[in-house]
Amino acid sequence: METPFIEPINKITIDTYGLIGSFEIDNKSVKVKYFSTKASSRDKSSGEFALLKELKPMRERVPPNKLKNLNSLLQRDLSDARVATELVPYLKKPSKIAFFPAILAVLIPSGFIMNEGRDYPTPEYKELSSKKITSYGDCWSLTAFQTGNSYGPLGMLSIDSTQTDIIVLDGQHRANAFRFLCGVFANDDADIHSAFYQDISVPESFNAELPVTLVWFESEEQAIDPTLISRNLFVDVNNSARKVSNSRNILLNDREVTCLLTRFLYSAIARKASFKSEEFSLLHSAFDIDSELTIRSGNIFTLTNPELIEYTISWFLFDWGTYDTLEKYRVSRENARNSLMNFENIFNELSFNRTHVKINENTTNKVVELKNSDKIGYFENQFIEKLLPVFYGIFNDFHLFRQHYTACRIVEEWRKTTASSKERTIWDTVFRGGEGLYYTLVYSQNNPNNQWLDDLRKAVEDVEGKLSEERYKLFPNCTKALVDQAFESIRTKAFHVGIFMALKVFNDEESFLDSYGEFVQRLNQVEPSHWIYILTKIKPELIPSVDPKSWPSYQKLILRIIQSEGKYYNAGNFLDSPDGKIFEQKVKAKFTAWVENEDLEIKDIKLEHIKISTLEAWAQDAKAFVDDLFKTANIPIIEKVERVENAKSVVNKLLNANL
Amino acid sequence: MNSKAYSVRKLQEVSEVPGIYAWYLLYNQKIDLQAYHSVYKQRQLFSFLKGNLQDNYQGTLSAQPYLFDKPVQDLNLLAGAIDVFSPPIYIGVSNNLKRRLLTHITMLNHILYADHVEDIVDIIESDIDSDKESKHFAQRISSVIKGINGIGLNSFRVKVIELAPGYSSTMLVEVENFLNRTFIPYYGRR
Repeated sequence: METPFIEPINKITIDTYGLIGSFEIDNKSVKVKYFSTKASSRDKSSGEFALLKELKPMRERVPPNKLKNLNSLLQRDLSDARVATELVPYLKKPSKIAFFPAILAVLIPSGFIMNEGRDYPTPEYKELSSKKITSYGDCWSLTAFQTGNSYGPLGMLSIDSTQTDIIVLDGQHRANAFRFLCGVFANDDADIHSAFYQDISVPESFNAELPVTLVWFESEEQAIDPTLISRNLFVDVNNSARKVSNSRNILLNDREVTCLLTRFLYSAIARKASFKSEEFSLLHSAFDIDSELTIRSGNIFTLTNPELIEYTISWFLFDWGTYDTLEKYRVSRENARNSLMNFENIFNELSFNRTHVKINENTTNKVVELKNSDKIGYFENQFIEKLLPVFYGIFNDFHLFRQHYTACRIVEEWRKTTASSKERTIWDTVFRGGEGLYYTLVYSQNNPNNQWLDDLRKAVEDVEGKLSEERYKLFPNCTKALVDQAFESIRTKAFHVGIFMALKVFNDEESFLDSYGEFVQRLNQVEPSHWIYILTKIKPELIPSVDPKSWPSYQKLILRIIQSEGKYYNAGNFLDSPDGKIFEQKVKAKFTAWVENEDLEIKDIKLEHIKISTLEAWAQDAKAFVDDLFKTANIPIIEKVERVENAKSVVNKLLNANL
Repeated sequence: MNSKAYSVRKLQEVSEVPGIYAWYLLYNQKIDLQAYHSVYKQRQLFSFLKGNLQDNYQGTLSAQPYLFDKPVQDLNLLAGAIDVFSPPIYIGVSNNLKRRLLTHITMLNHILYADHVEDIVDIIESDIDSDKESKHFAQRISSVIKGINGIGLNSFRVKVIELAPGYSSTMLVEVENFLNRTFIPYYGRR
């Protein structure tokens, strides 16, 4: 009987020649094997050309809406602006010399990036006459040629590109500039990224050869997680390169506990909600932000970002509680946050607990680190069980934020129906693309002759304007400016830390899992429109700046708003309350004006010099002002306050300060 | 004279006055009983014996811990009983209780979670109410509880007696000396 002909699977093997090396250090359990070779377009049938085509950016490997786990994050996002305006011109410009140092890329079995449960191959050796072949499963093999009595260093690396991903760890911008000039850069005219290259021509021939170092790993002691090791290499290697944003460094850091917790949260958001508009998702959390918070905090769709989350976690879990007492409104000195008191209580299972972390005294901030990366999985599991509901619950269920998500949904619906094609493209690739394209587009150098880029920027503004418009309509009696201002204040370290530290005090000695639901319910007892008022009218009276050190003021304001029956602030500690702080400022202002009017020196004034009727008037005006603020937000005022006595305390404090 | 008990989470509420304090170690069901028992046992004793004709014998005796072959069934009762009846593991005095206790807990945090282990600092009477003394206590207790799952910072509780501002330091130290020599807390100054 004839054997049926079975069409063989189209295996695409990249064969390149080069130098074999091994980076082994005695006290390291993982050996880094490397192969130095080159990529070029000189010979389109060669392995060098096939390798060049594989040095592609992550966006061509993993569609952003398939991103399920930020464990696959291995490189920062490709900035087409940088490739087009810095690196390509560097190679094209007439000068005596130009060179790119070697690109560093890692070989990873396909499927690892998408967390598809693949094992990392172990080496298998075969000696033949004059060569030794080391095979790594079906993924790649290394042939070392005999030189004298030994094998190597010359050899050939054969990579099955259907079984192996080649991920650039260092030099992706250089690699893609080179690919562009060789004509292999994905450059579909309809693709939004093409806008950056509109004015650049590809030369007829480009014969340079790009040095490439390919690495992979071997270990006899432990199972290899190549994404973990590659992330370590990436963070270390990139310290000398153009600075990676704090947010990206946080998501790539596998040692510091606050960074790991941040990544766990983002992975959970990716799994749970991806880029959905109507619930807390990656759309609202700026995981692709490319710069520091001091420069920009995200686009209008975002309420948070990794740097804010990590900073919040550092206070929420690792602070000593120094500023949780009800009279403290400002951080006087930022000390290292590495108290394990709260962490111990939460992470206390046999599989992962306090004995698996340490304080690294060698770092500037003496940070808390994981002792062994083998524990990351167990750590993440406990986070999902014990802390994720708390973080996700606050971001998702606080109805002030829910109004924002409703507006995002409205924008998404608009995009499906009446938006222009440019606006639809912008929505899909800029706000839901996850590559940092927003920041590249909006903040890159403006080329006055590039109409396409200008049109795209205008479309971004239109989409953002649409959100601002739809969002403010959901807040009756509030202007657009106030709503925008309120949401800007949410996207600060002070607000983020303030709300979570308010939960910490509210929680008292209970488990966060048991108390966060009621905390959110209390927050939701205040109408969303009233929250806008609180953040734009009451908050500025209490917190004039956006300094992160003012987070205790947000904490105290939130506690005051959600309290029942005067639990935190009442007539007995009125001057410690947010009401009391504003009252104090008003009395001070009255006193200062009175001193000027009377033409007196403060040091000569005694309390008895001020008529009681004057003090009563100041106290009445100040209390009326404060009460009016809180009544407008429908928050019960503090009753039975000894106004005059409190005013006297304020004045006495001023007088004593000037002695 | 005012006596109070504080968990480590409430140390910010301790008054900034002179006083006496004592640390206790609580129990919870995540702690292995044998491990908790071992915290209260001296690991070794140094002995020096005199025999006939002025022959001297000296050496180190290692603890032979009692092995609990039967489990305790009512762990809730056990935890409660330890809460009420356990002896202090450390007794000290300070001119500023709040500052001293906060120093204790921050040093305990650092030493318990440090990657490396330093030699335990020795202290003398003049080190009472100093950071060196705090470090001494933290090092001694950390070396015992470091690897025990379930015992951490939250396992500690402190009882204090608050005195009037200006109370004599000399008199405080006299009381401390008597308490330590009589009750010999396991992790008291050596």
